[in-house]
Amino acid sequence: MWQVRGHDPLLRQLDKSIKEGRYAHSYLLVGPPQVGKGTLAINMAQAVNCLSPEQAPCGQCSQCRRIASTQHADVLVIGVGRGEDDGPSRKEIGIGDVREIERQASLNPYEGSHRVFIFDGAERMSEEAANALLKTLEEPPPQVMIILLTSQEGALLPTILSRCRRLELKPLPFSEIAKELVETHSMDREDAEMLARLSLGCPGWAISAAGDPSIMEKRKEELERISELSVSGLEERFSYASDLGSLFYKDRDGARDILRLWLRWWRDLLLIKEGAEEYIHNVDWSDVLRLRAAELSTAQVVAFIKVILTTLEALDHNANARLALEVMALSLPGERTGG
Amino acid sequence: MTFQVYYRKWRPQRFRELAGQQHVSATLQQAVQLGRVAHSLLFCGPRGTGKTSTARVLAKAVNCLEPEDGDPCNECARCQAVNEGRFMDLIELDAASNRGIDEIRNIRDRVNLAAAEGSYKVYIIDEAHMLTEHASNAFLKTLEEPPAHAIFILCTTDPQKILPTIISRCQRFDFRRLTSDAIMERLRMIQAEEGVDVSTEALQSLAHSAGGSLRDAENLLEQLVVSYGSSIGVNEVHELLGLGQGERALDLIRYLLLGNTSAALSAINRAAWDGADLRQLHREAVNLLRGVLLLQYGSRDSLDFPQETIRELEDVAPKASAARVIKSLKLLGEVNMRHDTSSPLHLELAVVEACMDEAPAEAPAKAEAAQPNPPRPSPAVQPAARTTPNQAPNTPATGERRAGDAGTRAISRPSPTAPGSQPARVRESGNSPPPSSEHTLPREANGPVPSSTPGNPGPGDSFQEQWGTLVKTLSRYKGKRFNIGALLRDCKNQDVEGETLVLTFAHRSHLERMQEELDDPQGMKTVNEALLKSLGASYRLRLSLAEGNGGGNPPATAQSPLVRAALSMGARIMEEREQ
Amino acid sequence: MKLSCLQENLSRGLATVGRAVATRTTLPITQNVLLSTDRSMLKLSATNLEIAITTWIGAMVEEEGSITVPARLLTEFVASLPSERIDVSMAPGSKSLSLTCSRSEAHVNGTDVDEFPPIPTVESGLAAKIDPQAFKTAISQVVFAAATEESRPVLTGVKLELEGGKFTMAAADGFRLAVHNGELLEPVGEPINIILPARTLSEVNRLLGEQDTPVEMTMIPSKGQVLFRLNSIEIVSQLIQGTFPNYSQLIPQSYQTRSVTDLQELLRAARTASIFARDGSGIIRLQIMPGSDDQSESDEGQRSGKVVISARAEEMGDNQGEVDTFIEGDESKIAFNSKYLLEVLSVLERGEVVLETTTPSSPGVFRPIRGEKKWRERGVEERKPDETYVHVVMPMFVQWS
Repeated sequence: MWQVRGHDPLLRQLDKSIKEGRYAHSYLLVGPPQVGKGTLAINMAQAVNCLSPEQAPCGQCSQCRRIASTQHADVLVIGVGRGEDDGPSRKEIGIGDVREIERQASLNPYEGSHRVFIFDGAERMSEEAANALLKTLEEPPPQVMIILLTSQEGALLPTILSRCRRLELKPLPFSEIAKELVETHSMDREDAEMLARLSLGCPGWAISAAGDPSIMEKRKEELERISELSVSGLEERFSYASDLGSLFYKDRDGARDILRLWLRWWRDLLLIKEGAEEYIHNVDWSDVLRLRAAELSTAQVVAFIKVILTTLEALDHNANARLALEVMALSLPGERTGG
Repeated sequence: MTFQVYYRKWRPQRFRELAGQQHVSATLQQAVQLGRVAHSLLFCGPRGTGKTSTARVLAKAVNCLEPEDGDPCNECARCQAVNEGRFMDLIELDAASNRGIDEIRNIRDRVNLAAAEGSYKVYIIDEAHMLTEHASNAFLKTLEEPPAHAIFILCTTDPQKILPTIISRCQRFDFRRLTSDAIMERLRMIQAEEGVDVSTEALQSLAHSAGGSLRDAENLLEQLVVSYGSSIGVNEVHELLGLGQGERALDLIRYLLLGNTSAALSAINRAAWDGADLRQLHREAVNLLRGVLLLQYGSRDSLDFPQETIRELEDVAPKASAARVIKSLKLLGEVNMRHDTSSPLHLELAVVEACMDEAPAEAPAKAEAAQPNPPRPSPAVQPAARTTPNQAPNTPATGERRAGDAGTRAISRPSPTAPGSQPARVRESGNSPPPSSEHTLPREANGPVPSSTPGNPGPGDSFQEQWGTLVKTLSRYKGKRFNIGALLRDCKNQDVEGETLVLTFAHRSHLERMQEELDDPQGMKTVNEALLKSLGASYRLRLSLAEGNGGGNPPATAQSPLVRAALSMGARIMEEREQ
Repeated sequence: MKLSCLQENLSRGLATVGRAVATRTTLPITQNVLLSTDRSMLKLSATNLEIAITTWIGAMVEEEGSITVPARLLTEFVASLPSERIDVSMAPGSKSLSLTCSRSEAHVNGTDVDEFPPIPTVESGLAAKIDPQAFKTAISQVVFAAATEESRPVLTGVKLELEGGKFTMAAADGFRLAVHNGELLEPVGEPINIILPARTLSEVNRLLGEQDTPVEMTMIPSKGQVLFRLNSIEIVSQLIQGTFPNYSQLIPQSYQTRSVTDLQELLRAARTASIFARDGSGIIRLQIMPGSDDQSESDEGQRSGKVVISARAEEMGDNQGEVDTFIEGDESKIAFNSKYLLEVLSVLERGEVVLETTTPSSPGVFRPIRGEKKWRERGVEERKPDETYVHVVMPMFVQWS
């Protein structure tokens, strides 16, 4: 059973090509974070290794189970991940990772029938690593499948894109996610619809938020801070920037997620100012957003959104995180002096 | 033999199979024939143009035991060894993994060793742009005077990054992006061999989208076959590539150029919610904007759009100021959809910025001269306008709103050129009776305001402004099923007939949705309250459907060059009469 | 789990499997060693997903059980203990292994066996038996010729072919080729053709030690694995995917000059030359010169002569040495990379070496002659090379002045 929600035509196509043995050796799965790329990649790894080819991926056989529990020796997920408890997080997928998979790829599979290498966040490959991967990506040994996952397709080299079979996972309709939440997570309708909407069509986020109230709690805290900072003094803003900077050092993705919350908040302000409120993201905050919007001019909102985008980009390019975040804090309009 | 993807399965094995690079393959083939192959070659060109394939063919050709006119035979032991990837004297390195000075020294130290299996040792160094400067320098001497038995082929997609000293030591071949024809020819061959049926139109569309890369084209073809089976038409290609967003893009630029930010944002978001490919939307919007620009400068002939689209553009072109077109084109052109391809934010920003800052005085192209009053961005030119001094009560902080909110366009079009001075109904307003100046808008605090000749210019007090406020107010309100503000945005015309406000919709579905919302007592109440607040009066509402399809189509008269010229000078069509 | 064993046995066992403990962390649990009771033995296993090694040590088993624990921690702890009895125990349901030895005690936290990659088993398949010392010789004569860089993974492997009662082992890196032909103890039922990582064979060579019982080799090519069964040790290796070059084409079928030289003398001269070659692109030149005409030509055109071995270091100096030789054919010149020359001469054990050359740009072929007699004392037939080993080295292009 494919565990990915939605995307039926894509799954049918994939299922057929795997059962007919006509699958490609290199895939690119494109879609926003949490839309189900990782789940699909694991499912694909199961499907090509499954012991019951008719039902592949059956999810029951020893191969499927070992792959699901990330114990399988032939299925390797390469990503930047989080750092160790105190250490910094990895910045990129480096050439060392690529050399290691090249070495492994040349060997016959250890316990399954296929080696599957999953690059989670392929856009994080260093230029060197990406170039070094090209040969293997184009002509891997038999019994090897490479799956690249990305939410930023445009950040990959055209030479990478051109070697892969591309599968796009679009965000699911909100109603579909809400239905899923109601049916399988017994949520009440209203909460489910709210989560579905906040998930931007990415079931992964909605499902984890449904199972873990702390996610929504955290979002609420973060949004409260974002909202407060719009009217706070410089001191608080600097201290916030510094906290976010330390978080970035340990957990890049976590810090990026917070900046994305900023971006969505400010986009909401823009939409409200420009008469498109029905498309805002943080619907549950619309009262506050409206208040904030009234205090700002469109030009200010536009300018600050650009600052956030620049900050995100600077962080992607290994700029001094704290400095970049402080610049962002300085550019935040609406400062209350002495506050 | 296990299954292989098309681009591996159909990799060319001979010079004459190399598609679209005759200038390269012919030269090389002749050099092989004459035994004058250079020992250091540089293959430059975009992805998928055949660099590595050519290099392998060349490696076979120089080592082949029975070459045919310089082409490898693919039969002899050496050719077969190359084809099976076990030829000892073909060494394929990628410079990315071997970019350092140690790796290059390693090559340099061994270059004097004789070929083991063939006559020439051929080094194919892919991604040569990844070599470090030190490594490149260490390589120079080897490249300058390679031993007689060694051939170095450096391949790169990025020759700018290669040291000039390296380039000058190599015989350089530039691989071009393949023409659509060359790609099509190759795809036809593959399609025939694979036993799939792809329509010519589909192949064309596919070849066109491949960006001159054969590998991309082959991949797309394979993906089509995998997705849709063995019979493929142009629709499948469009579906796969997310093409065919012309309608959406047209809506987007129309709103954009008319300064209707809210509607433009809505167009973007609706596309996003429908799962449309925003990159494609962006691309098409930029193309259309370019079309508008060309039209404004009178070069209709250079437009490469379907007739229908050109008509639409011709409708828009005279209504938008040249400055706005250029600004929009610039801002939208700068949008980089590389990151976050599914997020509408970048497009939204560009739209808001394009509509921002524009002085309220900006007028349609060439219209200033004809405009006695401080011109407005609204295309409506009002010779006899009346002001309504009071501001809409609840206008939010964006009081300095540009004109041009939804509805502006169709509100009324009195024209100095029209024979009758009586404002006639616009054609698009459909079955609503012609509004006249008698049908004034009753207001609580002020005198009547002619709804159909909405006011001039004072910021924030025209009917359009009020309508805009209304739409905005209601966009916060989600009705039973739909957002009422969004529904009202789809309303093409608003005409006041006595105490009735006639809302004309271009599409039946929009009308029906609105009706559904108004049937809900709560919805009705909200709309009435908002009407009172924004327009300062209460109205009965009547919904009507525009005649024909798409209220946005210009009247037939607009096709006449004379009328077009008049329009471009700010004239408005009041009425069309059958002669 | 409850058992006791001797410190020295456990320590030796851990050292044996230690070579297969992963150093990279792609799958962190592969840094563990798997301990499990197996009848009256303690079984130790480790795998780095390329090679898996299992060994058994004698133990008094009271309670069955199994666990995986960090290999390095356990190995270092056990090695530090006195040579006495170790009591090993683990409470049911617990994942903490307790070790007691003398007055020292330790608790090592482990991970469930289920999470450990399965140690491949090869129950049935094509089996072969080889004499252990002959296998060691083959390995040491071939493995060094495999490529070390990974641009062509196939060349980092060693080709192993078994057919009838014979086996052939070959390795090549594009500049040299080593081929060893040997005998199996029993003929194999059907031919076997595999590419093994060179590392695997080096491990087998190391673990074979002084063993005198036959090595058993079992393979299931479809699973891409091969098992070597040594005395109380099993090594399972992944095979390398790909096509190996057709190496027999690389061995020249003829020669113009054949020289037979005392191996030790030639090796000494080559070592001396390599000191100078180090600073001169590693080039060692060999000039094979027949003796002066007064030396009577023996039958079949064979006569004595000398090999002049020289090297030059840019701006530093040069060196030249001579070795007596027995020549068949004309004068000849060839230049080799010093590393390649030294490596082949070093694995030829003792006796004499045959060098076959044609032109300065065609490969040089080294072959051994077995036996104690000096070439001067051999008859013509006795100077024929030993067919068990061929080593081909590509020459270097140099200016011969």
